[in-house]
Amino acid sequence: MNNHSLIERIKKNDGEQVLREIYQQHRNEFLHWAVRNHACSTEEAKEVFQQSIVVFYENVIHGKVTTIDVQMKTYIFGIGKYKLMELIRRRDSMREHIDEESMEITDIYHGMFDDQYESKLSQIEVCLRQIGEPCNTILQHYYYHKKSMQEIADLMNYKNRETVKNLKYKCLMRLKKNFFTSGATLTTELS
Amino acid sequence: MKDHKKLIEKFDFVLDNSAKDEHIQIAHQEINGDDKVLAEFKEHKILVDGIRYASRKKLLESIKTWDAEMTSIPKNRQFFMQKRWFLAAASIIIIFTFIAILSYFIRPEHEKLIANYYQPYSYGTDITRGDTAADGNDFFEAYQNGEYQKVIELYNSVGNSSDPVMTDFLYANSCQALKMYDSAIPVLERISRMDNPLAPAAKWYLAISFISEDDSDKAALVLHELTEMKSSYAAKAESLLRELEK
Repeated sequence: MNNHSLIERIKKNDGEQVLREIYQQHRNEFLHWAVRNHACSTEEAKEVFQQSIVVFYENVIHGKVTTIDVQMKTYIFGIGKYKLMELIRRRDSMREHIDEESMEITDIYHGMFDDQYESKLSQIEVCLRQIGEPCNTILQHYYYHKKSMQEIADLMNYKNRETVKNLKYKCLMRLKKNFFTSGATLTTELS
Repeated sequence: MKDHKKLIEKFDFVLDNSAKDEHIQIAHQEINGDDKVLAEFKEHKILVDGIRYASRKKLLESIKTWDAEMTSIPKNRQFFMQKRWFLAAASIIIIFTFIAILSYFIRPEHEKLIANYYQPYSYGTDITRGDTAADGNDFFEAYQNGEYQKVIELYNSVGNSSDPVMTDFLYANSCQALKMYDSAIPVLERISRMDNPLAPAAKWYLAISFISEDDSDKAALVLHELTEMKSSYAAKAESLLRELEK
């Protein structure tokens, strides 16, 4: 299967299966390559590869990747290399310049989650679990997986996109109420 | 509520980043122009980030599960993997033992008798070496060492042996030891008819040769004659005869 079809499958509700195939196909080779060439442990390499798969997925669903001219392996390894350098830099507290690859390899959430902010996000994660289903799934489909209202309606067997739109709004308001009444304070700045 | 829903949609539009830059810019200006709206946008943004954070974690968890599935081996398989060399060795031993037992039980009856009764003639027990006056002779030495092939090769070069009957007898025994019954039988028959101390031994080994050739009748006849002779072979002959007649 070519890269274009893979990207289409990821967008069309088959993302998890495709990611699984890519993960299983390249995992061992990546670990071997990373440990041999980047002075990291197998566990570190594994974690980096898992994050690379997530980054790849996010780049696809956010439309940052529409076509991949190189082999899928090269692309995933490219993300992995970037992540490995980041890891090494963090580990060694070095401030060396990372020469990014010519292809666009970006982590859209890179640097977004500092410790203080991350603790707030963890609270939202808890609140999301508290509001339960179907809100949890609807909100994640819409805000993370970038599904349209119609796609969510089809996936979750709702009457139409308007039903989902109303539900999504109600769910968001429930989440907001749960989070802001749980004592969270807002310190984030508008970027 | 309707207006608030519209406001949330505007926030989503700004955060989505997929719209055209100028449209986003306009929406941004509208939001920044009103403190109350700006405050609400900040609240909305953190909620959206939180949802994305939770989703990302969930996806990572799924990937970790795939990894665990890839690398884990079921417990029952783990046992076999850890013990595989031991199990392989045990299996080989069991198979060989089974084959050995099976081959013992399925081999012909006469082979079991041979296994139980045949031992090569021990030169030097019945007749001492001095009796043969063949000390130092390669032929006798080879027989004593169990080098039966060498005995057969040396047989014709023995020449004027001081004990030609013993030489013939040991030759026949060597042939028997190498399962060359056609060569052994005529020699043993000849010696068994002689008036010679080796005659009972020759009858015994002749009977064994007949059994080896699966000729029980001839063997029984010879053994019967042997039981009536005064010799150390009589008792063994009687026992073997009983076995043959079963």
